[in-house]
Amino acid sequence: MASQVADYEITSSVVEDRTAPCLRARRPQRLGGGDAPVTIWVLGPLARTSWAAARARLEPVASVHDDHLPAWLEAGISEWAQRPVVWVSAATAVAGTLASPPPGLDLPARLRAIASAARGAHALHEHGQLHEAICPQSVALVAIGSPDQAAGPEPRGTPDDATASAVLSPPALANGQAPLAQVGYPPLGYIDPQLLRGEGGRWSDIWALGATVHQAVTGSVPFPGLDELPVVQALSRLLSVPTPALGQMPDAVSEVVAECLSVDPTDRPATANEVAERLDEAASKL
Amino acid sequence: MADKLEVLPGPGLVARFGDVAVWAGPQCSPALQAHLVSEAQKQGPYAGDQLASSFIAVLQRGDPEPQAPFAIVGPGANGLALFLHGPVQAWDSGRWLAPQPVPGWMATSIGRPWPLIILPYGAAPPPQSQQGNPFDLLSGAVPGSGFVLLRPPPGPGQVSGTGQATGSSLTSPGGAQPGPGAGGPVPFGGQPGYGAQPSGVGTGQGAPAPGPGGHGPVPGGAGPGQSTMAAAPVALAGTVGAGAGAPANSGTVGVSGPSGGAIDLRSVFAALQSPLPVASSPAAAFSPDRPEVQGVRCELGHFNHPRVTNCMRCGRPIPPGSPQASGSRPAAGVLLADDGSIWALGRPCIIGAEPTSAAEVQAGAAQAIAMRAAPDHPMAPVHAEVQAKGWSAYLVDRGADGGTFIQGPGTQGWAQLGRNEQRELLDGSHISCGGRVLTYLAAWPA
Repeated sequence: MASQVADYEITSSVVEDRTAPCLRARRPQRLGGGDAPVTIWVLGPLARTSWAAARARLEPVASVHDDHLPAWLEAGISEWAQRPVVWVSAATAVAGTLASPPPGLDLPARLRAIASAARGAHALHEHGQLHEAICPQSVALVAIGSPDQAAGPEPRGTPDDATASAVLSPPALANGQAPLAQVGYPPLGYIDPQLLRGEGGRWSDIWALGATVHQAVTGSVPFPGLDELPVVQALSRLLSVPTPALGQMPDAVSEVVAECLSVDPTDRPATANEVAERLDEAASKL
Repeated sequence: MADKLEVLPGPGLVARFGDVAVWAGPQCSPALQAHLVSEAQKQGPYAGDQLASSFIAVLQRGDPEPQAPFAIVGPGANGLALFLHGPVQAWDSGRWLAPQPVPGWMATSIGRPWPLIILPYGAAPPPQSQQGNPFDLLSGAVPGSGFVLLRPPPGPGQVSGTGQATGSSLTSPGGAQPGPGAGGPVPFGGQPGYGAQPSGVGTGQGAPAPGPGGHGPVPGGAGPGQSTMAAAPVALAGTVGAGAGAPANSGTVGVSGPSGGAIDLRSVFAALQSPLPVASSPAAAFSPDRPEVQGVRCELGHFNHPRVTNCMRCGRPIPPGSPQASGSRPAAGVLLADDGSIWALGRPCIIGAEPTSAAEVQAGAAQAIAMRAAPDHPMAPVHAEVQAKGWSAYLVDRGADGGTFIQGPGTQGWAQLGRNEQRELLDGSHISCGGRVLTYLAAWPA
């Protein structure tokens, strides 16, 4: 792991992920705000010619300020492991993600974390933006006392003290102008088949929220065996719009998951905020 | 705004004054047209943001003309501020922007893309790059159905294609004046309506005549070298300058992007885009850039390939022999690149080392898949193209050195396409150019 990204000194790795590593770094003095840790996501690798497209993707997302989204600081393009990547920094101190939740984060806490991410997605939707990469990796658990905004107070706790509070990580970026997705972030099992068919919308993020809840509860994506298939076969299967096979879930959760994963987008919850409310309600019943 | 502004022929009104350009569709009332021309004359470092804010303030009290299409482009805190209202769309060199739902309005910040195309909603993009067109609206108001903003033409001593702005407006000194009767400011606000006393531009006489000197050739013209456009330069907001002194030892990297710095996301202009439609909204089915093809509809009206037996949108059965109808074609399939990126084949895909230099990409008619060549393989800036025709997909060689290859599903070995030859892609076909491989997966039955 490189010890520095731009002039951010990396102190540790929050998520060891091949496709979207999440790092903890010292806050450069030039940014002010003391020495509170910051979070850096590394996205890519990307061709340098993709920077303009990456910027066009990131700026509208960063313009949405919401408690359930990171308090963005900066973005840039740098070499990482000898390949150009785009990095994004945020004042929000992330302690981990739902892809590898800390021990002791029980199911109600995980559902509340996904509900937080759903509210972040809703904020994006209300500002005309899709996330398109909602998955357990993008549900970032926030450290206790992490500031909600860049100008907020410094974190009171340590980044290892994860709570059920969560924010939604950056959207996926990839080479070229506007690819649908980059294999691995999100994993294929979290991509709405309708999005693959060029019919994406806020219902696609809602589908991904349902798949994320399904994984959090059952430990697998709603298409059994998809992860074991070669990518080409997995994509072909998704393009045929298969009906999800839902695993065993508590009644309080299964209904909202089933609706999120409906083949017909009009049968899904209308908004991500509705998903959040129903997840909070389900968490309170567990 | 030193950019070159080309007016697209047709009904409507295009006006430009200094750093601000506007387009008003023919549906706009004379009062609104006059107001837009008047407002466009207000200059300032953030004139675009300020104009957008003034319109938003009015719209929040009620939209006087919801069906009136107009667009405003001007300098903002983060590059160009873009305000769209009604059935209008904008291509910012990477995507089509339009208010959602339509009609509606949106305001956003778009850096400085080339080309920036303003068109009526649903209109076909202008053919090819407009770069060779010598006409450039310097200042004034003229008839037009939209406009294209392009890289500014080089001045004396300037190097073509550097992406450097001249730093001065194209407003010609002592030259063009506002169109006839553009007049003074028109009251805007207080009560619904765009100006109580419309005067000057478009007062019941249709589109105004060109202002003096408003439509003239650009000194020096546009050289052929300009047809190759690099990615839009990054306009820095709060440039970081990070990494300038970063040591170059192993494991340490500095910011070295095209801009030489990072972008400050804390100061990104708040994009006031309309909320995304919910699934049940009619606007959810809209796509402005899809061709019409023949297909069948399920009982809910979802448009499908004529041979499907179940709707791919809702799963409802579609009986054999269902009547065919014309509709907007969904993606024909997807391309899976060997770097893991997945592309829906709606618009054509241009593959190459610098596909954004393709005229189709610049005009918004195609999407760009940028790929670096594998070692010892040549990859041209524009190497190959995948396009959908009807419900099928085709690979097209673009005449690049190194050639374009295809491998059909279940076959061994690669077949090279002749120069500019095209071949149909079947589900599972592989494409190779520059030593890189993409796989086509059909979204519909063969």
